[in-house]
Amino acid sequence: LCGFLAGGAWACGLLGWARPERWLASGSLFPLSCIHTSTSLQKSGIWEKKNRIVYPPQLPGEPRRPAEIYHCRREIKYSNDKMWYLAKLIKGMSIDQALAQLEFNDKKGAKVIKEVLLEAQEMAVRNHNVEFKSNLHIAESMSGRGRYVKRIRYHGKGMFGVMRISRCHYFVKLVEGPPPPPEPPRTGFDQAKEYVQQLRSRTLVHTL
Amino acid sequence: RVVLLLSPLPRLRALLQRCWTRLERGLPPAFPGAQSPPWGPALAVQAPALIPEQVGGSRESTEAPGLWDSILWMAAPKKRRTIEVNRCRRRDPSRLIKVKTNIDTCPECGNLKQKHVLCGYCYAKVKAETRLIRVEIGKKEGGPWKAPTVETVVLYEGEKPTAKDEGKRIIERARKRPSWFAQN
Repeated sequence: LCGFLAGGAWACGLLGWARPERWLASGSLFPLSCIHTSTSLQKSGIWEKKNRIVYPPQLPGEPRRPAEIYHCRREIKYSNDKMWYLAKLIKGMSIDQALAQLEFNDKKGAKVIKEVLLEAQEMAVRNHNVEFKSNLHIAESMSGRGRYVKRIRYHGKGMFGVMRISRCHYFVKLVEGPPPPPEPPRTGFDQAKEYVQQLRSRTLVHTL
Repeated sequence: RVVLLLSPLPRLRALLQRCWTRLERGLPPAFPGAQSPPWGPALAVQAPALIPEQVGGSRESTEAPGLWDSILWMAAPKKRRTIEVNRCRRRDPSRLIKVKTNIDTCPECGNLKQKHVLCGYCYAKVKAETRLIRVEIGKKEGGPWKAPTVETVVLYEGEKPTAKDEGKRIIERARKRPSWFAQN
């Protein structure tokens, strides 16, 4: 079939998942040498490290800093565009409301996000000194693009297309406390006020 | 999804050419091996009408098939849709997922449920118990097509059949009666 790409490059890309060093745990083949290989099972990302920051102790007069919990799940077998809609749904809700909405949503990503939220809630109570598990709200919820692989999709009459197997990541930041009240929508009066303010704040340049 | 049309496929090109020339002549695009439907008596065609059709047919067979001309009239995007335009379309409020306002809590078990739908947890609980009752029924009947023509009554531990249960089939379950299964 004359449809194959240049064999070497394509095979490299196709078997990208089958890199041998990823299968071996560090140092399993050579028990005597305790060499820590650089490719660990999970590349530590920025979001995972955010949980490790430690603030200096607060002064007596300061208001209490609300607890922040960062959690994520990597390489979910779902499309980034579709996951974005679910992430947008949950932004700014309390965790109970978010779980309720996700439970009765029919999308595949809803189930995944629900698991992530429950894990994060449990982490919050166990490790991050959160008193009430309902007293959390979702400050940030985002989806990111994971690694894509290309595969052949067979059409009729010997024709083929190249399809992308897409994966995504999901990131969530839970903050202790009730959810912030939603912003009132910008009215015409607000816009007019801002315009007038802009006109008034003009100054004369290059003058005496 | 991009479909790659490989031009050096001679068989496909020849097939398309043959189909098109047959369509031009007014015949059905029958593939090799198919029988054409029996034609009825055709009207007598006048001589001048035949000649332009023959001329048209001969012209078509020498030049490239007309399929390639009609591609110019097909709809195709003129410009690439910018990411701003794409975002406006994808993030339009009609496409965002709407927040549901019909979620309540089940008074029995406290799980979430939709107002017009049975509670999932309670339904699963009842379904599991029903499955076990059906297993008992299966053991009693001993095979398919052996259901008796009388009613069935399910009795749990420590329950005796009452006078009302005369002539009914009794199924025993070796556990305490569940709170949600009312006894008549």
